[in-house]
Amino acid sequence: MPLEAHLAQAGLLKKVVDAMKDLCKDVNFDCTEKGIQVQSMDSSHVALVSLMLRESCFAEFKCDRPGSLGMNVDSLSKIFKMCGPNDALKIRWQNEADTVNFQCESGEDRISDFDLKLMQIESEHMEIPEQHYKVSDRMPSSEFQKICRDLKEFGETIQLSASKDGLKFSVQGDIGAGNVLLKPREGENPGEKVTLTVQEPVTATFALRYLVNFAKAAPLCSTVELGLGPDAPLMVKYDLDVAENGHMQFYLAPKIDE
Amino acid sequence: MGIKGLMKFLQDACPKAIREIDSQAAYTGRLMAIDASMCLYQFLIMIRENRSGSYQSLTNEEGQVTSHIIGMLTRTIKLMESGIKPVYVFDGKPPELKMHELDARRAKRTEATASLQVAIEAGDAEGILKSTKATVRVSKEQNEETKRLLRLMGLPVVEAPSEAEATCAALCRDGKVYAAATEDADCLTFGTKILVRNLMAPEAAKKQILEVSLEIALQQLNVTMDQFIDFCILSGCDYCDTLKGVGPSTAIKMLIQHGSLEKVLEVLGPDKVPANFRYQAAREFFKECEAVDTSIVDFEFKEPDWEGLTAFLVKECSFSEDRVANYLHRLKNAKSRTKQRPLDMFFGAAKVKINDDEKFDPTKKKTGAAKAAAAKAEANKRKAPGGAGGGAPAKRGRPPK
Repeated sequence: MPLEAHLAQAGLLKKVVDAMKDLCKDVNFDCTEKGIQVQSMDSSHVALVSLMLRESCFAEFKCDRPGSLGMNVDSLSKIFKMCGPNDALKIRWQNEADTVNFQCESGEDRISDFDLKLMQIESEHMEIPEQHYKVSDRMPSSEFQKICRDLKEFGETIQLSASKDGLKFSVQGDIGAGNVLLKPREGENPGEKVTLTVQEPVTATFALRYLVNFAKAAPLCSTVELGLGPDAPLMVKYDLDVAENGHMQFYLAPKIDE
Repeated sequence: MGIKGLMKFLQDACPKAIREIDSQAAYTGRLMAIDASMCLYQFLIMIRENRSGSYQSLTNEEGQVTSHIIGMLTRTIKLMESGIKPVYVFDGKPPELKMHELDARRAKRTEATASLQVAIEAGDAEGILKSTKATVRVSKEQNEETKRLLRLMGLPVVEAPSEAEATCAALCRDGKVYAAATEDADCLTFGTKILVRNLMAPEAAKKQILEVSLEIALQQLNVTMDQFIDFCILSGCDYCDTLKGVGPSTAIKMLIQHGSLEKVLEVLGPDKVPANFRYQAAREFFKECEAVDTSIVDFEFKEPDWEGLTAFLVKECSFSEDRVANYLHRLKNAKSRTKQRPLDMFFGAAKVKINDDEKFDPTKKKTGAAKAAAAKAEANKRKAPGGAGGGAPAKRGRPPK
């Protein structure tokens, strides 16, 4: 069998799919012996999702032959509604089969399964050049989500400006203008700290609705990492619990004034 | 009318060169060259009211036609709301080579004027609409008014020395715009790197947006650009006579078989080749691609002249003030969307690879094309149940000048 992957907790994939759902429609799951990877752009070619599920995040993982499984993200989301977050999930794909099987076990007494039809998706694989960010910031993922959601009420565009003082989120709209300034702070566990490294101050603007979408990945990890550079896409990265298991990463191209 | 049957042929022979695009939004942050003259013609044909039963164009208080203004304004705002930065290109002097074609179109119009009279006398509503549409031409004033509108909107206006298609193609070839958005396939023959069809088709028409890559088409057809130009001439273009019974499939087969256009004409013989088949002139015309000097072009997208625009639309065009205020509000928001950059501007575009076995082979093309078409249809079916299939070639025309 080319692919057999067991997850101890279906919740992980469920969260990944929820975070992807509003950005992409159809995606290829590229499977290799190292794990499962997804790279997909949104329909306006402005944002990119890059997912890496390393073999280590599965209880059992076997992939004899590399292959791409094309799936519709909405359909996946419906399938994962059948599983509870703590259910065990088995993904199986037979050689040359045009469906992939999901089997979900809650305890010993209920087993649900679904054969999802695969799709042929023309993949547009982008080589992402190595990025050296002038500013990197790590903060609680829930806080990032709250800031994005709060500011979304006021305008379409968000300005991020990073200096030694902190990271400032600014928005302007019909009813006025507002800012949130987040300063570096210490905390007992990583989910409370804010760390900021600024090699040089950076100011950049982005379409806020994409950040709101990215921030939906918050349940994956207690912290989020942002990377900013002048005239460069913003990077938003969530580790899958621990970095060794892989990550879910987003890129967003900036808005630039003429 | 571009190159006879070219799109259909490319869809069959080099499917890798053609991508189906979900929506206008795929061009967020891109500069797109658009043939303005063609747009105007479409607006004048399509935007009509029928209170009087005679399908009149929209007019201002003085009775001057404003269909083209409202058409251009709404279409442009819609493009900008999708994040597109439109660069409109206007036709210049028609090339001497096209006179023959233009004469034919003029004759058709005269004919239509006559049949319009007949239809009016007979009270045949359908006939009136059909003939009225066929008599439409874009006046010099209408062209100038549209340029004024676009400038007031803060958009660049390009005046082509000759065919707008050629300038659109040159702008794309030299990297000044991302693509040329046109229904005219001969833009490819002029050398545009990317051609986008149906970009501005109304949603109701449910036409699939198609993106054609010249580079991939040449690769998959396994021909050089020079051969491609000859192939287009053989298939039938606007700049010299057409060969009876020769379409793209025959043209490419003969061209590959005999090696050169000259040989093909020899083989076809004087029975099939018209005496004045000026293929050399057409070939030169395509190659030369008379266009604006792209090295000095620098597009500026300025802040719209809000007051000037309001005055123009309300006072000169007699549009209602409320409607105009609404359009301007939309334009303001849309302006912010066009500042968004696409991601591949930073990361580089994804590459398409063509394997040897995917290259076009004229000898077994029937089976190959059928298979590719079937595979594509299958993929479409899975992707969008009940969705529109590959776009049928759009009908279009252009008025004589």
